[in-house]
Amino acid sequence: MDNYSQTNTLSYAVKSHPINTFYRLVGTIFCYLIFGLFAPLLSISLALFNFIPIKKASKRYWTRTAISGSCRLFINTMSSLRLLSYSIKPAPQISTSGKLIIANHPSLLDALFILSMCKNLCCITKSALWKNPFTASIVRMADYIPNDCNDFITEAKKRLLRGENILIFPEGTRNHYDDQLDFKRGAANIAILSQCNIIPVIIKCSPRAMQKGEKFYSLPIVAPHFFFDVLSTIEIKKHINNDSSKTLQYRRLTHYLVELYRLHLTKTK
Amino acid sequence: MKMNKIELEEYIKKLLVELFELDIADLKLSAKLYEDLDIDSIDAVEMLIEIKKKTKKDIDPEKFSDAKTLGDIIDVVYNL
Repeated sequence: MDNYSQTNTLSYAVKSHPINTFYRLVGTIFCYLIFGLFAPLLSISLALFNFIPIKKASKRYWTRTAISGSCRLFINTMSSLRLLSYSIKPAPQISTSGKLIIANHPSLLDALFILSMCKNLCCITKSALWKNPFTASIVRMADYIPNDCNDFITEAKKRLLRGENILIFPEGTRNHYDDQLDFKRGAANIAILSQCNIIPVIIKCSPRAMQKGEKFYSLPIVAPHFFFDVLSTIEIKKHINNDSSKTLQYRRLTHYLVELYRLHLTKTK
Repeated sequence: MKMNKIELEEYIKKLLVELFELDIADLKLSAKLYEDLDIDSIDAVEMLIEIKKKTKKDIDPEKFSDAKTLGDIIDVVYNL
């Protein structure tokens, strides 16, 4: 039994005391408020970059560095308030370039965690973030890719070729249960067409928290533990087969990824 | 090459089996492309490229924007 499942069993055995639940509720609301206040502050300070005559690429770089740092700060705040705990295997930093990073998507914090782990990371995000006043100017300045943009796959290819990393959640949105694994083929489309290698990140959030459609005040019985397993890189060459059509290659790679995730998500249970 | 509607239906079904490894038994005219056959927008583009090669007709993807089922696709291609 590894550390992860030990904490798991323990945390379920000790059911949270009502005072603890109340504390976590107050703490969580506090963190939402911090996010709500901090995001516009970050937007404003990033907007100041526009007055400094530096290259677009360096603006993008500094914006992404600021986002990464802010996410780390936010997550560490939550964790030092004991609202959550986390562990990352093998290394807390993913240093790489021109790779596609994929992850399953159980909770609202997944993207924040991965952003905090990786530098120069471009995200494919839902287009709603472009309209949300808290996030609009941040995603624009970080030069992220909206998923409703006409040709987001070509756009992603361009970014990968110039050395950016791209984060995509193949499920497209938060899932409802762990092994739902309803992967769309977008991630496989990008990987095959750009011939880029893939870094799969397995996320286990136990008990599940901050799920889709859940109210912010509905908390799990104990503070959730997030476990991140950064798997070894998938060499895309092994999945490119010019004898079969692109459409079949997308399907086979997507199927492979789903099975890989299923294996890892079920193995410690 | 002009095909009659039966030939066209045969051809498109065969194409879908080749491109997407679908089971021919699932290819009913009322089958919805996205929900039932799991054909997404990228797949649809690949499919139109193949149809264009075969029919040698100019294909305006706009015309397919309302097509929801396999039957709709066959109708649109037939009326090109």
